[in-house]
Amino acid sequence: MGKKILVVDDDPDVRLFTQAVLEENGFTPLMANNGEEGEQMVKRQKPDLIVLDILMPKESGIRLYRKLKTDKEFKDIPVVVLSGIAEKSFLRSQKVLTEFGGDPVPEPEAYMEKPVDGDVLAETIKKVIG
Amino acid sequence: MAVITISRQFGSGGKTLGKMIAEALGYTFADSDIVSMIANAANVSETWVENVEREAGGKLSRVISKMVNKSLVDKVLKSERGYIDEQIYLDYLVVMIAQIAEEGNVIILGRGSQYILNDHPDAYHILLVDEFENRVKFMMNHYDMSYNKASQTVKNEDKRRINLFRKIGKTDYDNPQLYHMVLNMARLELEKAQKLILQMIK
Repeated sequence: MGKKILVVDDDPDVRLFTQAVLEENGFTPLMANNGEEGEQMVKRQKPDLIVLDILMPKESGIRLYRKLKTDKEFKDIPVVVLSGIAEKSFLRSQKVLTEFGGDPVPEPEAYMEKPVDGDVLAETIKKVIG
Repeated sequence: MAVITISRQFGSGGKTLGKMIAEALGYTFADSDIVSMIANAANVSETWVENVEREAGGKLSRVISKMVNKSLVDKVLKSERGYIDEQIYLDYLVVMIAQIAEEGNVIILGRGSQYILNDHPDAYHILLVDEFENRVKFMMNHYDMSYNKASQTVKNEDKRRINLFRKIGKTDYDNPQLYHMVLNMARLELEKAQKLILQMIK
């Protein structure tokens, strides 16, 4: 069985696309529709890497990211952000949320802006996961 | 690709001035658009976002958050509808304002944008101040309100502003050092204020 990759995205097309890319490259994909579901999956499945969207209903990717990266148990799980939000905007938001009283969080292991090429996504995941 | 943030004491003409500058420069004026973007991202109604925004940091909001918890909403709606509270609102607000600024050529009204974009290389931060009575008069003249209604609105919005900034641990929002330009609207017509800002941008 390949390494477990959790995909957290509310867009069914993105989930389908990412699932196909992961399977083609020998990974075991796990799917979650939103941050809340994603958080439960992280706790249950302890994935090797998370592909995370930012803008999602219920718990956003921002909240899930900040929770994971400040949790002793999960902070070392690499996160590849895959979002329509520009990387600069995401990084600014993290800095500002820390300034507004949140705990500091590191930058994600990789950041990809949608739409993404399947080969580039697979290569990025391989590079991050080693 | 400039970004202009307008912070103001409520009733000092921020929205009117913001629209005037946006029109003169051909920029986007981001005010209620921000609410729509947050509502869309969180998959909730704009009214829900406006209510969270109105009560941010206030006692009522804390009571509502306790009463209307996420699991209750899930039970009631039984669907993929979203949920928003103060924390989710803040997360989205920060990332949306950062994204709007990244696209450039925009005037952003309030909502802590002077802090969110504090070190943005293309941002100009403006603060508008005015006496309480003048701000009441402005609301009466521009929004067709009675004195009592205008006075109450300005008082409520002043409280809301304090609460919103308290939520993010900020008390220095009227400190001139945060801004490129502070305009005393008791001494300036809107047209003159617009001219000053346009001069600064060019």
